Amino acid sequence: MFSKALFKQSCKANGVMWAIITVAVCLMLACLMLVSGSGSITELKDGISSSMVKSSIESEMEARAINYYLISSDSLESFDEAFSSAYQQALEGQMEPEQAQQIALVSGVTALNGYIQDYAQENEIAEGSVEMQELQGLVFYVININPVGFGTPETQADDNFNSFYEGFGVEAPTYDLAGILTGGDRESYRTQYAQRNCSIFLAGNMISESNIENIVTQLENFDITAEDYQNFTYTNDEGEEVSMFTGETGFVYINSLSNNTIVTFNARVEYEVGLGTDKEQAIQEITADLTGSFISTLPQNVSDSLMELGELDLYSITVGTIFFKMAGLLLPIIFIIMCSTNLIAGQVDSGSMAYVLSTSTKRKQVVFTQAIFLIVAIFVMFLLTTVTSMICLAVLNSADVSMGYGDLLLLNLGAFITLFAMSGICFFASCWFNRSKHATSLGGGLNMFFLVATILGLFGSHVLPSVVRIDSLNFFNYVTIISLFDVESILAGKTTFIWKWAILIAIGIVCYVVGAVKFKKKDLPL
Amino acid sequence: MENVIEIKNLTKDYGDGNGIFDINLQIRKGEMMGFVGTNGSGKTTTIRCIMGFIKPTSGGAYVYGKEAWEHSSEYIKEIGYVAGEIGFPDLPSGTSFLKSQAEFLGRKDLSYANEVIKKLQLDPRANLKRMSKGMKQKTALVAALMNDANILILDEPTTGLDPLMRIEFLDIIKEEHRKGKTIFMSSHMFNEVEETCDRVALIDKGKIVEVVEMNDIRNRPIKDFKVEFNNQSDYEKFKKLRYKIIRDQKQYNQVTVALKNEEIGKLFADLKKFDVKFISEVKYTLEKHFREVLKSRKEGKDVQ
Repeated sequence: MFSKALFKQSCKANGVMWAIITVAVCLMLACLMLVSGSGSITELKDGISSSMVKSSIESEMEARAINYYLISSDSLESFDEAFSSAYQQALEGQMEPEQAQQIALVSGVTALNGYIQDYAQENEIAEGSVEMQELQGLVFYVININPVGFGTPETQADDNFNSFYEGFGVEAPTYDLAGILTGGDRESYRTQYAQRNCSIFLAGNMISESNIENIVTQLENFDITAEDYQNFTYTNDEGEEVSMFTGETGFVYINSLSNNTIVTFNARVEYEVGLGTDKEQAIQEITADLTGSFISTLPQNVSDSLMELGELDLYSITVGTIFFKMAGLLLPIIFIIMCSTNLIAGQVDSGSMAYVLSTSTKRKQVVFTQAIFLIVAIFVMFLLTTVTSMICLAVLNSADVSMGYGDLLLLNLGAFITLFAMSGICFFASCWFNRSKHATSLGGGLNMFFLVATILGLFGSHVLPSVVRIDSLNFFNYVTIISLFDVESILAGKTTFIWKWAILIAIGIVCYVVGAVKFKKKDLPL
Repeated sequence: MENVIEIKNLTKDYGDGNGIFDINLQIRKGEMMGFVGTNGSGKTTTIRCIMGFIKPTSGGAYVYGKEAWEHSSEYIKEIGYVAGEIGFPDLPSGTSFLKSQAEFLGRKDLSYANEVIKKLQLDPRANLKRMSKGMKQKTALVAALMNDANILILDEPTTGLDPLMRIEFLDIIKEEHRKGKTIFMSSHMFNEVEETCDRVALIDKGKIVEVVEMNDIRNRPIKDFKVEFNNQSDYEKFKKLRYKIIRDQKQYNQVTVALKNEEIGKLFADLKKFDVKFISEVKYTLEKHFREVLKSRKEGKDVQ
């Protein structure tokens, strides 16, 4: 059955091509394993995940800014109303203007408290809770009524409010009480007042230590540590990389973020209302829209995808899927296409098969020997990649790498079995056609299609996190036999890959056998 | 005599009238058989059937009594084959090709091959891909001869060779023939087989038209002579001598006569009386013979 002379001849004819491709594949594998194993891939992953977290924090802050602004501008409005009506009443009651102002002030503060109560009730905020404190703080810090001349207990603490503002190096605001009575464009005054002060309040709040601690606790799920949180940076006016969410620079950043958001918000509300939209509705829509990064519109999905990203094993994807199912298969596929054509169809086409067949070497022997040659060539190639990958794994610090020697062995074996099936297709084409170009077109075309479909299919496969996945491309995973090489199941320690291997082996055997029978029976133009 | 190759009712129908139809041919031991026909007449198909490369539609070729398609591997070692279109395996040099070929044949001893190489003045170290047509043909011939096989099947072996090279090439083949080998050589050049072969088969449109013994052509009992006279009166007088005139060209005072070998003396004696410008024998060639055969077949007549 086996012709030693023919095997030798095939070795001589295809040896150089085999050696070049094997060296290239091993080199590629070694580079990939060593480079991606030495940490750069983890950095990349962290980069992706931190930029997503960053944007999620930002949009969270934007939402909060708008919320703060709405509360403060509403509370200011209710203060103004209470103040002016109480003042009018007092004047009507024949009081001195100074006295009337004091009464009005008390009534205004009462209105603020009333607003807080209403808001808390509406939003189910419990008395004494953190949210309640936040709400009260917001309302009173923003208005920061000058206490001079007013002796009420509520306004006594106002000294602290001034020091809060001055602590950040900004001027403490003074609410223009006289303006309420003189009239003028009170609404735009309130808008600006609320915007400036609630932004400062938000920024100051966000960089307070207890709040940062709070946020970091929430981010732990996404693999973000306190250090990472501090290391979110932006480039300031002086061109320095400075912290975004902590310290003085954090204050500046959040303050301007909040101001910008509120300006945009107001402009859009004004525009929508000008178009005749109901104000409430407009506010709701615009709030959703402005804070509508994917994080806040799809909170579940996104936090899921962030989780996914945190769990993502990029090393398994690059070595397991990208190398063994795609990049690492490309060169061996080129080899099997060229080699299988050379082994049968090429020799029939050129006529050199006549020399083999005129030496009492039977066709059966020819086809058997050439098939053995092709299989052995791929087998040895993957024996060498196995050795290469084992060496690389031994060199790498195993703590960084999620793969074991067993996994690598199975991956190499799987790649060999996949190529066995694909070489079967090429070999079949080579046996079927007398012209080498036809054999190359069928075998090569089909196998290249499989490879390209696998590459396209990757973008739709669920080894990728859902945010970067294009689901429609998943279709390609169903039209390529490379999908039967189930890398995920191997790496997950499941056994489903075994029956898929059985299918690949069956495809290979059927192709080799049918090809051999055809070659034995056909007319040869020699 | 023993038939080495026997082709019985061999048909390979490729459709549309292409192929070979009902071929019967025997090649005897130690004989050199020529196989002529125009391009596409079916020579290569017949040879492929003998080699067992293609499956006949019906009938079959037998070598040493063994049917070719089924059992070619049993006798194929006895055949040295030079294909019509020479394609070598993907090996670096002629030497490595010949060595690999020897390995296939299970031959350790390359002395005979070296002898042939020397005789052909071939340098086998040359790169197989860069060989000239002649060198390739020579390398192929060495590969066919190296096993000292008893049968040589040569498919248009001299096509593309320059005239000097062709003579050299045919000399080698003739020498093999002298050693007692059976040779079957196809060609589309009549003069080539005429010089070398014992018998020649003519194939036309997939059918064997005729098989002739070259001796019959060479030693034909009747010979043709062309005679031209210096003046018309002699020409007129000669015509009255009752020779069998097969061609008469009055404008040149020229006649061509056919006569039996024993009459030649009489013709020369007669011609002494005339003023003869020249006399020459018109050779009866294989080409002429076959042309007549084909022409008469077309006319539906029988040839003598």
